[in-house]
Amino acid sequence: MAIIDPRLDGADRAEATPLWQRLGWMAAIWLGSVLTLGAVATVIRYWLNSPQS
Amino acid sequence: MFAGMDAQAAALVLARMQFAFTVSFHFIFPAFSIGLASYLAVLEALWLKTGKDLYLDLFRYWLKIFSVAFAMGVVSGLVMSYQFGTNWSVFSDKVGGVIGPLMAYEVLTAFFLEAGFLGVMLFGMNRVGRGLHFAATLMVAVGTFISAFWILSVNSWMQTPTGFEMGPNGEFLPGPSWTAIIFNPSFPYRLVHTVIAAYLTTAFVVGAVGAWHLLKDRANLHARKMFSMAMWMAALVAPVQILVGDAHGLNTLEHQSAKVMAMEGHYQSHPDGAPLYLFGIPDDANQKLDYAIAIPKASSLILKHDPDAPLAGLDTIAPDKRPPVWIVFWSFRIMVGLGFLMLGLGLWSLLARTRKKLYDWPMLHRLAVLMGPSGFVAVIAGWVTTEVGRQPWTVYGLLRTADSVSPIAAPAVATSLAAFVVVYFAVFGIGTWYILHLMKDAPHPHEPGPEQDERAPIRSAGITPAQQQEEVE
Repeated sequence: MAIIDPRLDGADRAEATPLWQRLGWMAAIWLGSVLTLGAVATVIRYWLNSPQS
Repeated sequence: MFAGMDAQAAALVLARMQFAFTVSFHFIFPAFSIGLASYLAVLEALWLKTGKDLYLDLFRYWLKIFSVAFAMGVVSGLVMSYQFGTNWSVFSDKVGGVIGPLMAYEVLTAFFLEAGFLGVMLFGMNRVGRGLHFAATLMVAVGTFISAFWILSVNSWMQTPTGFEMGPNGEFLPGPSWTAIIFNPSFPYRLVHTVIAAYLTTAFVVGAVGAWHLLKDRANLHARKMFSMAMWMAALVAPVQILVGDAHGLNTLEHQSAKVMAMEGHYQSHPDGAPLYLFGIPDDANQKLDYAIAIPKASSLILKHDPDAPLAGLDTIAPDKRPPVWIVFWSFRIMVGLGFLMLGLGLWSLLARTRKKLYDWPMLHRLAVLMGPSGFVAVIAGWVTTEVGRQPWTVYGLLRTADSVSPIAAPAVATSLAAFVVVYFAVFGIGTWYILHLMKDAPHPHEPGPEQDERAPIRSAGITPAQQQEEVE
């Protein structure tokens, strides 16, 4: 595993990691964002479809 | 206002007021975020290309503002779809087969491109690196454009419906070609005009923020860069927008002539060349324009490129198919007037730039600050022109607004409208205040991003990073 210079800033440190790892992070953050919005949308959907609304 | 109306007519007016209120509020945020997403992509591209941290500082500064505007756009947009079910269920039932899939594409775009990659934009720089982060920024910018594409396709189809077939119960069904539905006759004009309007809206906000900070500190490099970029947009894009607007107007004359008659205040036909009314007080009851100030034959010259060309007036349209003139006449003038003011500011900035005084003329900066909200006013005025101008139809010439409303009770709509007014002003008032609060402070070197890097080097107390010495022009 590569040793990363602690003096590098965040973006430089990220670029010192393998591409597959960065792509993995990108997919994870993307999925987390979509799921978060999906959860909010689901709550609103249930609220709108509830009998008393 | 509601005196003499029956309950259903009052409910219709209230439902229209509710939609007008919520869509006007909503439109402010995408009009800003469409342009701002592209501005962020440009800033990040310049940072990657030049390596100058000034662009990264500006990127981080505007990214925070973008995320708040984006969130408010999403929240205010949810209410719109809610109303399709509550207040406009007959409309939804009749046209859902055509516009439903297009609106679904818009939602999918918002989910999977805009919201998904916004997370990477906000929190991913220290995880994915510069290149992938820039790709995420591009995805968000492209996503805002694709969202606009679908929504404007839907709206344009309602204005100039094509490619559909009528079902046995009067419902609109997709015909053999979706291309005919999506690329309906007014769509290309409306798309280009609206997207450019969004870019100009953002440019004038960025320009106003830059000018505001230049008035406080003329040497601020970040303010200089923002102001310079915004004024390039004003000088180059405002004239393009006027030409595109003219083309859009000619398209409207071809497909929705009654709307243009209302915009021009042409109650009467003019067989020998129609005047351009600069000012007037429309009188719908008597179908005439009071206190009119006009340029003879100029309207025919603009609309037909011939000063003597005949132009039909609203007297050729059946009374029950005429739009209300007062609102359309004035909203159109507000939009056009602001467009020319934008052009004027852009040209003034060009003059200042050629004399190397772009950052030295306080009057120019004050006008730029005043013009900061002009894009928002112009897009709403334009939206009012096109939406009120197509009345009394929801699907132009085919489905009346009065036949699109749900069987709802006026008190229920009035109550929810009152609730919307209170909640909107509270929620979006706080959001807007927060955006203005973020704008109050100038961007500075080492502007913090949304994600804090806990391992970043800690600077010694008392040592302030110096301003970057670089040429801004």
